[in-house]
Amino acid sequence: MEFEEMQKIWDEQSNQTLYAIDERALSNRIKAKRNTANRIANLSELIVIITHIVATGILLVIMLMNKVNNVFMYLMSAWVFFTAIFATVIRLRRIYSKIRFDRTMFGELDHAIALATHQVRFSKLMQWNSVPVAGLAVLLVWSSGKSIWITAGMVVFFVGTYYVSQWEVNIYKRKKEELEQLKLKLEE
Amino acid sequence: VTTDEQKKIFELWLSLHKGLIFKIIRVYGRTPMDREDLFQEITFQVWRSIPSFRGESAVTTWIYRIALNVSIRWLRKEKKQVQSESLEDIQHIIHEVKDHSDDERLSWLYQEIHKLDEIDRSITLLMLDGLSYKEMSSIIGITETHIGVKINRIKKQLINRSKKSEHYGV
Repeated sequence: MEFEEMQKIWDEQSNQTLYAIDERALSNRIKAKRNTANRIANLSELIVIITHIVATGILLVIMLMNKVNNVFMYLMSAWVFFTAIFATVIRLRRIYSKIRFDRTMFGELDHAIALATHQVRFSKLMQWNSVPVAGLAVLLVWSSGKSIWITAGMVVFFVGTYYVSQWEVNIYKRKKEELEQLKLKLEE
Repeated sequence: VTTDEQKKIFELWLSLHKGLIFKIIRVYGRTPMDREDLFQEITFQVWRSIPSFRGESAVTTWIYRIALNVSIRWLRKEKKQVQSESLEDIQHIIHEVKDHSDDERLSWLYQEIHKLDEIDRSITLLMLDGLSYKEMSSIIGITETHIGVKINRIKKQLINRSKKSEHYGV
């Protein structure tokens, strides 16, 4: 079969009606999808920002109520607060970076790769951020004269958390690699 | 754009360009459930895109861009995840019209397009829909020369397969 013949066969289908659309059901579905999309959008970033702000508040309340004068406690609350600020800045940069991409397939792929890169960076940042937080928390407990077993338990907990967060990083890395492969296909 | 205006534009676009969306869902979705799911996703994204449409490109080009991008994304997601909704939960939006008859050669053509990777499927569809290299370039985002190279390769592939196929001459 020559290509012109394929083209002819293809053109003939345009005169046939293949599907009927239930417009009411479609309208309902769009509303439902819009609501779901709005609800789940940016959830992970918001969770990180809110939990860090709440944690800063809790630390400040504890310090004010107990009149604590522990340097590690001050350092930790400052660190946690700046993490919240930093996460907010990263989030805003991601939102406003949308305008730099065109809507072609190539542009959308670039955008998806940029988004995946952002997710890899964000999750890695949160993973590395757990190291100073863990260090300060352990020092705080140790300096307050608690049992060595509590300190050891905290160390084990934080090490475990660090390795679990690697799992999240790997998910985003795989997603990014898949998108990069797709872009390569488009370029080859 | 008010919600009412958005709704009116959407209905107009859908009535004028539904044929284009139907072809795309057939190229990317294998089963009726796949096509239904993909149709929902494409129409939702088209609806969502209306406020950002500035008229810098033709509506057809705009819808092709959205529909093809959604389809490629959908295909990658669909490969990985098991259908989360049960059959009973799905509210059917499109219904196949029973009295249309498919040319056997058209079915063969769709089968062959299904064998191509996600990117080549898009290019084949645009090529068969008769878009110019310039229009394809503005949808895909690669140069016209690059489009030409890909089209030559795809055409050769399709012609070779048709020669090997028992459907040849049907």
